[in-house]
Amino acid sequence: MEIVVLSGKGGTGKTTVATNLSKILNIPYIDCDVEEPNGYIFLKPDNINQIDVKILNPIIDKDKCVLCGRCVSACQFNALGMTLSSVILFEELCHGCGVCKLVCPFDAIKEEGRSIGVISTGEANGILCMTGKLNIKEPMGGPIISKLKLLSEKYENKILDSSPGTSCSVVKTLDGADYAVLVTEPTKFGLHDLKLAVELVVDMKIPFGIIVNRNVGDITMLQEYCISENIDLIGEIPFSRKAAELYSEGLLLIEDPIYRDIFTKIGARLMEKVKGRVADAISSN
Amino acid sequence: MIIIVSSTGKEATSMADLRFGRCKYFGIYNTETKKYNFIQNEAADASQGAGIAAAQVVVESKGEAVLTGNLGPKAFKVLTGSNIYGYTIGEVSVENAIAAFLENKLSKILEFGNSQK
Repeated sequence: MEIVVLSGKGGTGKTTVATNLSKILNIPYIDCDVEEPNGYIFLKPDNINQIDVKILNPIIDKDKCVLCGRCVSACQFNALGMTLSSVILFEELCHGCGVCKLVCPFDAIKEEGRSIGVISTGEANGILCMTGKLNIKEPMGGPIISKLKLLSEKYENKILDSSPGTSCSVVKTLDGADYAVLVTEPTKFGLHDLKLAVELVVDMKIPFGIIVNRNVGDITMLQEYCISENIDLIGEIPFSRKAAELYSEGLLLIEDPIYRDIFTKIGARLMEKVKGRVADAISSN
Repeated sequence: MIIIVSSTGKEATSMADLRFGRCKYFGIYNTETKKYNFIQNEAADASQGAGIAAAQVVVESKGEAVLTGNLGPKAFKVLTGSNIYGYTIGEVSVENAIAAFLENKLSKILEFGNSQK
């Protein structure tokens, strides 16, 4: 089962939920928040193996190029510009689709891999921890997320930690997932952005449930929302000074027996929901 | 000489657009025929690279000067690579921008970035 943890609003506790659940359920943790991965801080993997993630960029042979402009007009990402003397590549805009090479009738374009980030794979006390990290200045994390999904294909059960929001990166992380966990907090902002995330997973037809983090006592607003929309509320994580202290020290909440108990229950309930929902989805197809 | 103005509309009396890559129209003025031609900016809503595409329009129209608010780094690179320079305008109509340029009242954009800072 591929379970994606997302949130809509940032800072609600995706990584807290994803890392603690990976550990409790003893399944691989894949950090797809490639612009700011932080799960490794809590899981502390070692024996790390790194690979470069590259995308193909065009290299233009000035001797063969006749400045016909076909490549420039074919590029839907506007990554090529043509001056009176040459075609210029703005590499950070290039998605590596290769259409420029295809349309060039003069064989003036060849492609070369350019590194845009790194994937680190390590082991954290028995569980696999894979982290994608986009290089500084690079705007496009998609290819790293695709590579993370490809590399983790061989693991049947895993948790993918997504970036916040409902952007392309989140869509890419969700693509093909079996179940989504939406982490929210009991504030109006949390609910507002949760609704956007719900809209996204509904649109992508991915079964999902909600976990409320940082519960300070009253979650009526979220409970009412879940009831009215017929959404599964998988569990809630109480706020405490202890939780904040553990987090600030880079420790998992399950280091604390009370939180271990809470996450064990949430983990069991999640697996039950995942199996039920996935079975429903299969039978309705 | 061909002069390009980033414009909000397709009339000589339309207000110029201070944005280059994201302007609605390009006003193309030929100083010899004294005629305007307005074309829509196809890349105005592009998710990325609007400045590069706009610079391409200028290069393809054989423009020699661009009258606009600011030029971003990428548009600047494409234009200067073709020896085309931008000139800063304020909130004026397209025809007044052209008139100011022809009277040498506009200053050349020598570096990319936001001129409104």
